[in-house]
Amino acid sequence: MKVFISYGSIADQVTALRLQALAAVNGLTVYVPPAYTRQVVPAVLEPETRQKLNDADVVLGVVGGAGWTEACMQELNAGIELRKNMIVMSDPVLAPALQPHFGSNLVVIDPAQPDHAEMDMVRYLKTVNAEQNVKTALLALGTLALGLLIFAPAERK
Amino acid sequence: MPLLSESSRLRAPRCTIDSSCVIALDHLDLLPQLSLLFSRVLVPKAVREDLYKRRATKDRLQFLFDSYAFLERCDGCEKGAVDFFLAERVRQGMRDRGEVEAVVQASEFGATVIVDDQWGRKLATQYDLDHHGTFWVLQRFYDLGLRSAPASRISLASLRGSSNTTSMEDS
Repeated sequence: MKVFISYGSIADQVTALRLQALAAVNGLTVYVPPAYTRQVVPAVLEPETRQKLNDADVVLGVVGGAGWTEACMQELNAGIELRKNMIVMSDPVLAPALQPHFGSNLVVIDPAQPDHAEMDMVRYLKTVNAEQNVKTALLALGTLALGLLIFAPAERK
Repeated sequence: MPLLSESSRLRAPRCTIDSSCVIALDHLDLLPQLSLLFSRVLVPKAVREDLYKRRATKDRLQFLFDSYAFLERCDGCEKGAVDFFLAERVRQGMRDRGEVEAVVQASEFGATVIVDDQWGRKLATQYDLDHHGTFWVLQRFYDLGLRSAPASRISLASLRGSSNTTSMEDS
């Protein structure tokens, strides 16, 4: 199964790479866009990125507290246009801005109530018309992302 | 109440890395996985200059910086300390500025040192720094279930068959 992980900002790439490494062990092929795509202004969806999105069975969005870049938004919107099975996990602060774009695909990760994120994922998956292995992959990746985002060590320069 | 308040969160693990370890881990296509062990991997200036000496490694390092944000160029370094330790090394007929900068910067940032060179590791010990070699990284990947036993054996054989790393057995 092929997974595309779109991360909000450059600060979220490490979470995406960790998910990639953990998913690869379980037989998933995960694509994480290179860091420079989050630094290029204006953002342009590269042919390789577009191809990986086309090929993906599942799209996972990871948008941490640092916010999102135009590149991330383009990837996630392309995922919706392509009707991919998708979950966007976001920081609670950003949820009001993302909700209109992603609706039921959005799962808010509130460190105070991590169980709510888990319940939201399960609720969303019940509405998704996809094969069981796709649902399992989404749930597993979403749960891993939840853990990684909640327990991510603080950066102190 | 958040599970972990901002102040009680663990500090993001970081390391400095020497050129031979960069080459070895890249050779095994394992550099991205280093993000599971360290949130930030600092590449000292002298290490970059060492890798920039050859066109192939220069292009590769540039690609890695462009691709992975957790790999960072690190320039802030106490030059006096580096020169002091380097002078000792030059007297022994060696020039290992990369190892010295990796150790001095690790000391400044409270980071682990990833270095294979024996002298560099002795220096890290003098600084009372946590230090490991490429072998340790492979062992951690195996322990975390990221690499199977056969894959780890192939990696080790591949490294022993190349001249990329030194002192692997001592890692």
